[in-house]
Amino acid sequence: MEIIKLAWRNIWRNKRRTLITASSIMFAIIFGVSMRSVQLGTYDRMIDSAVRQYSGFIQLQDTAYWKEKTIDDLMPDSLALRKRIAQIDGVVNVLPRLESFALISSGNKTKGAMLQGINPQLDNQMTQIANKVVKGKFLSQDDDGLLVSQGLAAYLNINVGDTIVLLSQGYHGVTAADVFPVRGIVKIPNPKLDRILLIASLPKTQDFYGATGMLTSMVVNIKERSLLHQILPQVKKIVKGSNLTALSWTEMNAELKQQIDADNGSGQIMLGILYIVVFFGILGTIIMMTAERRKEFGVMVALGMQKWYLSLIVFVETIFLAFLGVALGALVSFGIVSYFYNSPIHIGGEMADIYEQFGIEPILAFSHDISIFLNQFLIVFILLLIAVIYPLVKILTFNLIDALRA
Amino acid sequence: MSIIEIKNLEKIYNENTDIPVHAVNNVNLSFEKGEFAAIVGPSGCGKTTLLNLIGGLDSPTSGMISIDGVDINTLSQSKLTNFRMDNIGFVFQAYNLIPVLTAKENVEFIMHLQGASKKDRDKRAEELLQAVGIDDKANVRPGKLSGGQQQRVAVARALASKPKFILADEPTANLDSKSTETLLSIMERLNKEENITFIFSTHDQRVVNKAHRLIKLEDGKVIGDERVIK
Repeated sequence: MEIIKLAWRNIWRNKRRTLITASSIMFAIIFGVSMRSVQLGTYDRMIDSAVRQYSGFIQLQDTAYWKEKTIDDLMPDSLALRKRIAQIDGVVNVLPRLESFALISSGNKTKGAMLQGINPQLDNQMTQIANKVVKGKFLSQDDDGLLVSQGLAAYLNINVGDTIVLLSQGYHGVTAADVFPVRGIVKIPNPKLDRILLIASLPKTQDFYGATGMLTSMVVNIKERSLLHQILPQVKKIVKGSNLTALSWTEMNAELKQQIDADNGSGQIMLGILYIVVFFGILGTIIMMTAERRKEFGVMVALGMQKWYLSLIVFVETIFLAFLGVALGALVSFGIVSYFYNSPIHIGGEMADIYEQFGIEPILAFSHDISIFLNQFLIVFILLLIAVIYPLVKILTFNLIDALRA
Repeated sequence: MSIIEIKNLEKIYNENTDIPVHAVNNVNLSFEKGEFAAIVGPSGCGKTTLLNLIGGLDSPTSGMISIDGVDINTLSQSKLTNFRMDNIGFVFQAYNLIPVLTAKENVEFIMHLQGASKKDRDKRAEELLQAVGIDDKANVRPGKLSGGQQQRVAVARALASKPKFILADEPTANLDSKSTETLLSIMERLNKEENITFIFSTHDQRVVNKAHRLIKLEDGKVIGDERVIK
């Protein structure tokens, strides 16, 4: 039977208690999964907006440029190098870029901005920037105009068709000054960038800075973030011995990485506290179940049941409880996560401003990575395995006469 | 031939204190196959303790209990548990049926522990429930049975493992007159017809009247042991 039958019937001898315990496990799973899902989903979105939309996961830069960030330390564009890197498995393409700061002036307003020279067609494959043009049109390959980020355009009161003046220091001390017609207004997901970014074609930008054939970076566009650890060493191998450095997104976005790590850490502490509470709830139930059946355990052993067999029954009961709670929790949390994955929560009001101040898109996005579910299930099972130690020890060590007198 | 031999049996509680309690004091007894014996005496005289010691549920302070030639105090806990299962049937005052199992499943419980096949378990459980006159309640759980019905199931359970003897601790203490009469008739019949050995502890005169042997205990000592001719 008998273990399964006995254990199953035992957990239902007190329906209310079983449902309360299963519910506590269910809610732990729901909270745990939802919390992790929104955390990891938001990180993914942050990384996506800061990395995929801007820096890329891997960049090649001149070693001196990486250290000093001056326009005098540029690297030459090399089609051969780009082709070689593009042949690595998992690499989509390699994007040449030239970017530096410039002073933008429109009417009587002036602001510091970052001018990014791109190959519009190649860059769009990674950033999908053309889809983010909210007014006007996207750049053609050799366009002499530029795109202005929405925040910057709003600040300077710029519109499509206007002409703006850019002023900067060019390559090796030349003065960079030019007028650019505004082709379009683009919404950049990263709020910080949305306030400063200008996007122009690479030839026009090289011409502006007096840096024909030169780049600040080559962005290696990879298929998935998870491939980074395979691709980066191969890129490093290719540039080994040259004055180029291959950088990962975590090196280029150290602040973002720290921010995610800190938030992730605090989230895990919160989850830990939640699970401690749930653990003691489960332990309380198990202690009660053990205490109230002490006499019954005594009778079973008196009749001839070995204590280890009795322990096995109680263990199976706990597993049933866990399955019940986990199954319910999985069902509900899957529904919640699926819904919010497709319809992320848009934060408004003051909270949105706070998010933007930190350069984070004010959206609570959910991740439906299966590992989030599996991890929570695993944690709950481990907690139950720890909680079940108490009744097992009690059963294996109880005094038969004391139990029969209980 | 004796199936139970008890020699110089002692059970002392609070042994290392100023007021040790001699619950069982130098008891020497033997029981033959087919006996219908009652251990009688006032509350606290050591009846239950003696029964627990005979049943291997408790360990003596000194002395020896031999069942079918096996000194049960020399067995490990695990072996003693198996020994109880195969050789001793228990009937408790409070019935102590397993609440989540039906009457039939309660009877089958020990047979399952003994590894009997489902077919054998079914057949014997049905026979035993019939023998105690409760076969119509085979699929009912203990919570829905009266005290007398539960105790009859408990007797059937005690018989299920084909034990050498049955220990019944105050089996009628919680029963009304009618249920007591029914239960005693069943046990008497099983004793007469199937030669099953019953050892009771009781202070119920109705049980005493049915017993073939009366062992009187006082302060843990046997003060009388008489056979009653019926």
